[in-house]
Amino acid sequence: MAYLELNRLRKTWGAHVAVEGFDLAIEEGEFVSFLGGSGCGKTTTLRMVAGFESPDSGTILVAGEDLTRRPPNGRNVGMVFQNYALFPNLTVAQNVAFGLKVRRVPTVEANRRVDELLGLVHLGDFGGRYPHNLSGGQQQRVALARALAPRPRVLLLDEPLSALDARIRQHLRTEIRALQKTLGITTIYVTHDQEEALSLSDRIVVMDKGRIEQVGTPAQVYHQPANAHVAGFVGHLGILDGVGTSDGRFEVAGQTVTPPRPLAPGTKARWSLRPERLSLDSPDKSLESLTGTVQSVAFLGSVLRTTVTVGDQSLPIDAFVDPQAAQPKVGSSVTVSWTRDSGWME
Amino acid sequence: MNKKKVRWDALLFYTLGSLYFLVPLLATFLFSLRGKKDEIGFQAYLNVFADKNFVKSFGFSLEMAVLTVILSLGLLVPTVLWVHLRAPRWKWVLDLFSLLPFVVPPVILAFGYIRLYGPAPLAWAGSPLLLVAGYVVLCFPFVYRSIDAGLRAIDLKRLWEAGASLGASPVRTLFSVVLPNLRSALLSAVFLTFATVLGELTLAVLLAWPAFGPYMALVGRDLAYEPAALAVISFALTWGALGLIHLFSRGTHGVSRTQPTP
Repeated sequence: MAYLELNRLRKTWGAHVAVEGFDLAIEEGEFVSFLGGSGCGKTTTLRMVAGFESPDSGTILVAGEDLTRRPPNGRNVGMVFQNYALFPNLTVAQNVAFGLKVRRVPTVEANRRVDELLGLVHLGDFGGRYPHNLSGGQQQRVALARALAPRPRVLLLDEPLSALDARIRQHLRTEIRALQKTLGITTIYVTHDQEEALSLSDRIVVMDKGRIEQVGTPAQVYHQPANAHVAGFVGHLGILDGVGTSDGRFEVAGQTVTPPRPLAPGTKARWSLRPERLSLDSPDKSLESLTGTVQSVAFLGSVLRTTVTVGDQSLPIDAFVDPQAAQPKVGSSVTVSWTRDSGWME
Repeated sequence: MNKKKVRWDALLFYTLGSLYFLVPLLATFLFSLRGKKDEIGFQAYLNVFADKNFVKSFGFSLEMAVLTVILSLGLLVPTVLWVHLRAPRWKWVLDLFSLLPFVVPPVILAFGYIRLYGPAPLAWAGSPLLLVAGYVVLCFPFVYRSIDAGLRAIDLKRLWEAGASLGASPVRTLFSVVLPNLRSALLSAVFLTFATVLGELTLAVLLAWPAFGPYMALVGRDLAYEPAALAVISFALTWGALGLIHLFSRGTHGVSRTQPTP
């Protein structure tokens, strides 16, 4: 039996189905991310686990205990909010001690726990400050310490980094993961940022329109997406729409390549390809190749993204930057190549 | 250059505004000092303080104000909180009700009370609680708006949920988190209620209670300098109240930021 079980969860808002048929089992100490666009149901599901929303049907079990109808203050589930939700009238130390005070933990023990948590989030000297004296990143660390202080059974994080700038976000997510591993706490992390989900999680739950699209490790979700939506949502994707020819090949803008499986003549098909699986002007003749025109070249630091148009379709191609090599010229004719087993055809 | 020009504009309007309020007050104050013929002094103030009706009426209104504050906050804090948390779409009803005291004049309100509560079985017309009930209605807009503004300034829903996720009961979250962050708003409601009740005339006259408002009107009818002294005393009381709001508000520590600095 898994540590946290979400069984057939369903939640509606009037006629709108927010979450439908949500089944998930999470092991103790696992870090699971809910990934999806706005309105996909990821936050609603998280809020059902926290007890802030009641499911229309389904059950929520933690360590075999049914929490479905239990109020949020009786669940011992810690929550970190997007906008921190620190108590403005309390100091940092008082904020962290709040959950311990509620549980009537003796003062000496509570103080020790507060010091321990503030040390873990590198804010040992900030206990006497008020939240408004802290930066956003520091406030979110306090929120994390506050949620962890009462030793919750599950930690829920609702887009905790989305209000922070990129540099702080990257730094803090490394800290969150390290902290989670140190404490071994079962964690659900809601995000719409695929990079965050890929870098943090043991497993990712990709959601769309209230339903689970795929559950898998970051590598599985990236390399073996369950469908085109998952493939498009996780990582970048180039899409080629074409038709099957009489000899079973795949025709795009008057050019043909050999598809992963033979196509019936006239069959419409879509070949989805990751930008890093494509190469420009490769000398390898065994690869599938199409000729196109360079539409744009973008320098992304370590990666150069070249967008090539084939007919009226665009393909992004990522390559590590070679400072010695010349960049493709916009408007020039190039060959785009890839191995036959790259990407997905549907 | 531009900055200097803006400052002069501000200074001009600030001065004009100040003169508009201060000149009549100064004139009233100077007039109140002429209580004794051919002398400048505080005779009018001494007369006011020596009048036992002043102390009696002021004490009565003070009592009514305290009861009004207790009843108003007791009714409105949970109501507004509930509407903000659980039924925000019904907020328009409270907004509408809060306008009623401006639409329905106190005269109508008083006669309505007398008609409803005068005869048995609800013969409360002889009880000062009826006056308090009237004051609660009159002060409703000020109390409601203050609490509403206070709740808008904090991210109530998230704070409430944060309290619950840490194991706190709704009562605990209310007293440990919400009310401390509403301190400034509640003080504002309290002092606005005091100011309204202390100066209220119509309800007290029509329900026949010896309140401070009717006392001031009576003094104004029969005497010359004492009403001016009373007006200055009222201003001092109101400004004192505002000063207290400012003093107590200084201790509050802002609100949870929705768009914090990283």
